[in-house]
Amino acid sequence: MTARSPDPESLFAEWLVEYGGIPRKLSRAYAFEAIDVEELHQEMLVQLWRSLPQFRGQSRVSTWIYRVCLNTALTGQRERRRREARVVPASDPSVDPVCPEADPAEAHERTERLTSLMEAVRTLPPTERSLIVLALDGLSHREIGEITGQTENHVGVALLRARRKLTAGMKGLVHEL
Amino acid sequence: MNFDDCQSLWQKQPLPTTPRANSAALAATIRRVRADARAFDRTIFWRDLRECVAALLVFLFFAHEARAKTLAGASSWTLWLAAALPLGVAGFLLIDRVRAHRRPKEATTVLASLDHALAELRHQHRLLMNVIWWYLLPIALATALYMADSFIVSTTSWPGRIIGGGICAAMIAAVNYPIWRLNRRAATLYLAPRIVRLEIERRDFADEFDPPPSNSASNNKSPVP
Repeated sequence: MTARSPDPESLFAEWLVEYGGIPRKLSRAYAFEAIDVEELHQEMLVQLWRSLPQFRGQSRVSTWIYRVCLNTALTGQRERRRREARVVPASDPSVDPVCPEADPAEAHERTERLTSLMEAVRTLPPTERSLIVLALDGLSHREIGEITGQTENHVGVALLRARRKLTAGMKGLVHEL
Repeated sequence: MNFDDCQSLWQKQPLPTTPRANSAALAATIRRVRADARAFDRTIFWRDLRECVAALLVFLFFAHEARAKTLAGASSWTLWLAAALPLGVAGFLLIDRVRAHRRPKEATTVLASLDHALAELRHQHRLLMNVIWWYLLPIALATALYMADSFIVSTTSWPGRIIGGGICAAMIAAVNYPIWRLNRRAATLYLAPRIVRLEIERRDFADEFDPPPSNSASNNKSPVP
């Protein structure tokens, strides 16, 4: 299905259901405070909506969505930019409790680990952050290259460096990345 | 915890909204997105219109004055020149906006998008830094011509003309200087840092790294699962 379908609203709704997690996760990686996460998430959805008529179906829908959302995160100019320099709060308001129905101790531990991971991701420079986030989402070097415009080899090298920084940022929690 | 664990943790992170389960929430989200997109488009439209209309109004005022003077049989070339200047400004603004709207909004990659955003920002920066040449000076010249024309008619003594001209020049400078300062301030305080940040991001993305050590390279050849 392409954006040339007669009803862009249905298409958008379909994509939101199918790929709604992409802008959610990317906004969490690029904004620090809960209010900024929501703002960036909404900004990404608006950009997706505005870019919808330009989608030609030449790439996978998920690739296109990653691209638009990353563009929004990297080129955005909202207030959150000024807040990025602040220290990341110890308890991350943008991370929801993990599996509330599971064992509370285990859920608490997972939440803690996710918070640490999120904090480590956010300490990376924006460009390396984008590579790590895409890799964490399970995209291959080739797919990341399609999104960012880098060669596969370049992605590999840059990702290796970003993973090292991520390791350093998660001292004590991560043994080997 | 290794990278696979991190991936698993990342991919299984709970998301606050599950529109699949709630069609009302999905409809509300789409309504909000559409409203925000419309508001954004409206803001851009009114900004463009406001700037063009301001220049056009100045043109209409001077053109009206020039026409009245022509009909009265007096020499009115200064006023027609005064009218032409803001018309040129409006034309410049219109062409610039049309060109901006025609540029492709969606780039094919993040790298291309950064290039596009950088080009736009540099263009805006140039416009603000040079606002004196394409906006303030033509309008100021038009105002000066109008005032000079009025003084030439109403004042016969040269000292009176000189004093009047000085007062007019001071008034024009007093109005235009703060506008010029504000534009330069916006360019240096808001646009320049954004350009620098995007340039760094662009450089980081495009940077050709040195070949990695052989063991690292072999470890990293396979795509991240």
